[in-house]
Formats: sequence, C-alpha cells, structure tokens
Amino acid sequence: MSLDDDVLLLPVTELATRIKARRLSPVELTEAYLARIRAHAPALNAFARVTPELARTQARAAEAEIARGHYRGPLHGIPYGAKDLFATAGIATEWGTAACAGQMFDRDATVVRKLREAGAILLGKLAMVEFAGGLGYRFADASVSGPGRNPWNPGRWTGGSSSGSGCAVAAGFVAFALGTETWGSILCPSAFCGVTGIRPTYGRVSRAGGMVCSWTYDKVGPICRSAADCRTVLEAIAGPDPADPSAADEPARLPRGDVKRLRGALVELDFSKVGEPEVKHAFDAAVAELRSAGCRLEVAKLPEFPAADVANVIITSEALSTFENFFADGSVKKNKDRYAPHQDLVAAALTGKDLMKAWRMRTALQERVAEFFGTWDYIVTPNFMSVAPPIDQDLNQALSYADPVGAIGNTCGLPAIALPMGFGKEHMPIGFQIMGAPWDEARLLDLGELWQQRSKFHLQHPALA
Amino acid sequence: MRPTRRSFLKLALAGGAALLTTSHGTIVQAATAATTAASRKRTPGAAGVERDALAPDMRKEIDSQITAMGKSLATVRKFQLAPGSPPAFVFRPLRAKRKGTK
Repeated sequence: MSLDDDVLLLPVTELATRIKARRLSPVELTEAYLARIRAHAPALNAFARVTPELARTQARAAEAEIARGHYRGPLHGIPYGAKDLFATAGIATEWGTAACAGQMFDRDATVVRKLREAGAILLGKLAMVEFAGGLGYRFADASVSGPGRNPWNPGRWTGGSSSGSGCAVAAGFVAFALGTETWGSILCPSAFCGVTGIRPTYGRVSRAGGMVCSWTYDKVGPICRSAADCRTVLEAIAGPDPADPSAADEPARLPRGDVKRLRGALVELDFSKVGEPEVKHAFDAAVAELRSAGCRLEVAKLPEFPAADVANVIITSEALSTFENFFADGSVKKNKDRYAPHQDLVAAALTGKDLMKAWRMRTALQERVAEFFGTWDYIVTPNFMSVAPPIDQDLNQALSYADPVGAIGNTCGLPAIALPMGFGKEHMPIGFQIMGAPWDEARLLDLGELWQQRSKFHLQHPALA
Repeated sequence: MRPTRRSFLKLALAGGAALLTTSHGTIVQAATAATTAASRKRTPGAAGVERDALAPDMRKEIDSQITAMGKSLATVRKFQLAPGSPPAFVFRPLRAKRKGTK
C-alpha cells in the first residue's frame, strides 16, 4: 500500500499518534519517504547520502516492537535526516566537503544515538555547506552536494549551512531533521524554506560526535514542520553528556506554560534602505496577530555592543584552529569556495591578545544581555529582511544587511525559534524569530505554538515538480 | 553561517566605524589601516600562496576580507573594558585519572 503524499507532510505529533495507535506502519512510512526522496531529492541536492538499508532495518524493528506493545515514545517509528556533520558508525560523514570524502567514524554522535534509542529511523545524511561555513563562502554551491535548492523554487537557495535539513523538512523527504548553528545555520534555512527550527541555548544539546566548527558557538537543534514537533525532538536530544563537557545538566523536559503575562521586546529592523517591503508588512501583521492573541509586545532596543566584531574574532580563531589540519596538508583547497584556503591570510593580523580581548568583551556583553532579560522575557524580530536569494547570486550582495540580533544571540548562546510568517517576493517563504534568555526554550516553544494555532503558515507546503 | 556573517559585518562594521569615528576620529582609521597593511605584508600559511601571487580578482576579494577583519580588530582593540572587568574563562584543574579510584 502506498501512502498519500499528504501523510509525509504531517507533523511528527500526528504521525506519532497514528503510529502509536497502529494506524500507520513505520515500514510503509519509511518506504513512502524513500520513494519521495528517490523521485525529488536529487534535483534539490538535499542529501549527502540516503541510507535505505539502515532505514528499512530500523523501520522493521520499530514496527515489530510496537506490535509487541513496546512503544518507546513520540519518535518511535518516525523517519528523520541528520546533517552530514554528525558521526554515524559505518556511514560516511563528509562535513559537506570533498576534503573529507569517505571519512568514517566508528561511533554515532550522541544525538544520533539518542534518536536511535528513541526509535527514530535514519533516512540519510543531509547536505550541508562545506565545513558548515566555518571558513566562509560566497556562493550557494559551496558544498560537495551542490547548491541547496529551495523546494519552493529550485532556482533559489535553501539557506545554509543546514541546507539539506531545511530542504528535506519543507519538501517532505523526512519528518524532521537535525541541524547545527554557529551563526544562523538553523534559523536561516528554516526561514528560507518556510519551516520551524529552534536554535537551543548553547549547551542544551550535546555536540559530541558532531563536527566542530567554533566550539564556543556551535549548537545542535531540530528543524521541523511545527513548534510542537521542535519541542518533541528537542526533549529527545537535550540533556547532559559525559562526552561533551559543555552539555549542561538542565532538565530535558520542556513543560508548557502561560506566556501571555510575559513581556516581549519588539526589536524592529530598519527597512528604509535595505530589505523587502513584503517582509516588513508580514512582520507587522504577525506582531498585530500576536498582540491580538494576548502577547504583550513593546518596542525595545537591544544593548548597543559590537557583538558582530566579537563573533568575527572568536569564530575565525576557533575555526582556523579546528580546521588547521586541512590547511597543513593543503586539502582545504578541495573546498568549492575558492577563498577558503586563504582564510589564514585573512586572519594573519589577529593576535592572541585580540582573541582574549574579544573573549572579555563577550563576558561584558553577557552581563548586559542578562540585564536586558531582567526587564524583557523574550525578543520578537524578523528573521531575514528578504526572501531566499537566487541560487547563483553572490551572497555578500544578496544578504548585505546586518544581523545584530543574530550576533548577540549567538555570542551569548541564547535560544531562538524561527517561525514561518507568510510569503514574500515570488511566493517565497518568510519568517520571524523569537529569542529568549538562556534555558527559556519552553517559553519560545509556547509562543511558537500559540502563533501556529492562529497563523497556519506552517501547514503550507511546496508543490514539487 | 559565515557568508552572511561576513556580509552582515560589512554594514555592521560600517556603522560601527562611523560611530567610532565620531569619538575617536583618525585613531580607529589608523588602527584599521595598520592591521590591514600588516595582514597584507604577512606571508600566508602552508596551504596558501603569497598574496601577491594571487590572481587579481582573488586578491581583490582577499583584500576585502582582510579589510573587514581589520575593522573588527580595530573595534575590538579600541573597545574599553572597565578596569577589573571579569576574565572570560574559569580555569579548573583536572583531577588525576587514577585507576581504581572514583
């Protein structure tokens, strides 16, 4: 029996209900996703590699277990994809670059192991920008998988660096995906592909077994088709991990609460010189809708601080150290971005003293942000000021505007959720973000669910050619 | 995601530089110029080639990136932290991994 494509686009919460009630077979669901992947994924460059045999084995095991009455929980029998920077035992993990062709690890990343133990089914490794963009990139084709093509319009980019993760969720190739963010790599593809993604607090999710880009900025998070799904997946992957000292001992449960008494800071962006008016109009409408839902939103300004410079110095230092071997043996030249091999030259003037200063500034910024969140409970702001750019456009030109919220958020390790808020130019998805204080993911998810009870943009899906 | 960060920086730094110019004038510009010039004179690492040996279009882009980094460095170097402001790291000695003990 073949499943209707609509089933493949259902949220995890609905798939789980059907699987638990044995109204949906994990084996049939897996086969249906694999068929859809075969038919459509290559044209979108969504996967680094598909793992059909592993998926079928895991699906059969899940189905048999559930039939025996052993239901593990809401991810049991749910097929997913993982960004190709998470180690998977026996399956190549190539970090998006030809420099890592055939790279194998002998164990699973902690998040992959946790999902396996939760009964989720790995459909494949998802395409990504080389080295997760850690050495910079100017064009969308900076990936060994080719440019991430947007399922809403293959002539436009998916966003990066979790390009395959955003694409696969939007296109219905997987029920959910794992992504990572150093700066923007979960929120960007979520916004451009019209899906929901959450960047957790730094330390919420173990990075053990994941490629290190910038170890004091890297975060692991889910990209899904709803905020409720993000909650389910985040609860499954969060928690302390002896293999990752940065993984905090915070509870993995993210209970629902009342968000209407909270005080939201509305951080407006200046669309007068850059950005697209459709995005501003959609954001204004979203703010009005949130207010009508009872949210208290007042215009506020973020602390003034050169957070982008701090991030630039620290991320550059950490990435050059992380990828040092690729410079030493020259294999960095296998990257498609032709400027990547020269990043050591670009950073030649950066000294140890600069790095330490940036670190001390980071601490000072954290203090200011902590004071900010003494007054405000969360921040609402547009995610990007424009829709996904054309696939071959120079990204420096296409996205030539500042990202003060992302700079502060990532430098301070703050959580943020990306939510679809409509459509802009050429009917491309647009979104906004809600950012919170450290460990406030539950609030962000509550706000996201509240928004998605009213907006329904997350229920719209692209028609694949 | 680096490319957008870098492009974000173009505007963010432009704004930041303007801000600093108001209060510190030529100092920041001189610092930027100094770091940029220093970068350009340095020989790159093992994987690289001499900047001067780069093709002109490549050199133009690398110079642009060097300039952006120089502006970040100038901003960081100029930023005044209060005396006694906290250090960034908490260093912790690691216990011996003796066999047979917990």
